[in-house]
Amino acid sequence: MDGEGIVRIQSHQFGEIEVVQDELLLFQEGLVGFSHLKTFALLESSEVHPFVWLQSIEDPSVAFVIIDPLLVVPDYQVQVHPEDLEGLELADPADAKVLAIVVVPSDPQLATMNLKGPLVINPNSRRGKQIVLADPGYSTQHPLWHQTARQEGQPCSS
Amino acid sequence: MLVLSRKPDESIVIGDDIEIVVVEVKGDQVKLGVRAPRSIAVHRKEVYQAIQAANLEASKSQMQHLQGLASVLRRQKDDPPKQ
Repeated sequence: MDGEGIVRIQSHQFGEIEVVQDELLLFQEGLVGFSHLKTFALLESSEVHPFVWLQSIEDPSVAFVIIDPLLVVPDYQVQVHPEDLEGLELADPADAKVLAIVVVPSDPQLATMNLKGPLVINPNSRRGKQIVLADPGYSTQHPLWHQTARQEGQPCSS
Repeated sequence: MLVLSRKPDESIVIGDDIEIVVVEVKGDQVKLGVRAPRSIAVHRKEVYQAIQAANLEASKSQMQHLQGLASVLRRQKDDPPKQ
């Protein structure tokens, strides 16, 4: 880190990257199973749009793919207790941005996203948290593609 | 593992600020109440493990595969399948 607030890391997937320190996201409690990783950078690029990489600053080998779940499930709803959002410094819950972590296998048709444990981010305070929804209707492995699209859409070439 | 017998409305305390109350016992189901500081995350174990497993799986995502997935998704958004 230098005097101008630039953080440089040697990420495993993208080589050396530089991020402005003020743009980093702080997950005070880490992610579930990754509680030791608290600082992340959002890496956007046209080639992976609308996905975004969430790159760990503490561990250059760890990066998650995230997406706005509403792009895939327009009626997705996150219902949480106000105390779940504590620590995000949210003045207005409507400011919160909800993102889902995606599992990207080698076959894109099998991609899933985690709707049960979304990330809630306050873009203003740049704080984030992975929350666990009580709603039993949401799965940790929600397919990115509709069942019908998978059956009738592009068939998997075998 | 420490095993304690409790009746409904009885509780156990863990440390200074965590209390687990037996709210109701009905057949093979026990309802527990947890009083703990907000900074302590409390989850059903199977849900917690599922999210942990999903995070671990997600951390293995590769750039080369994401590029393929992103182009498929963009194509579908531009030209959604008719149903």
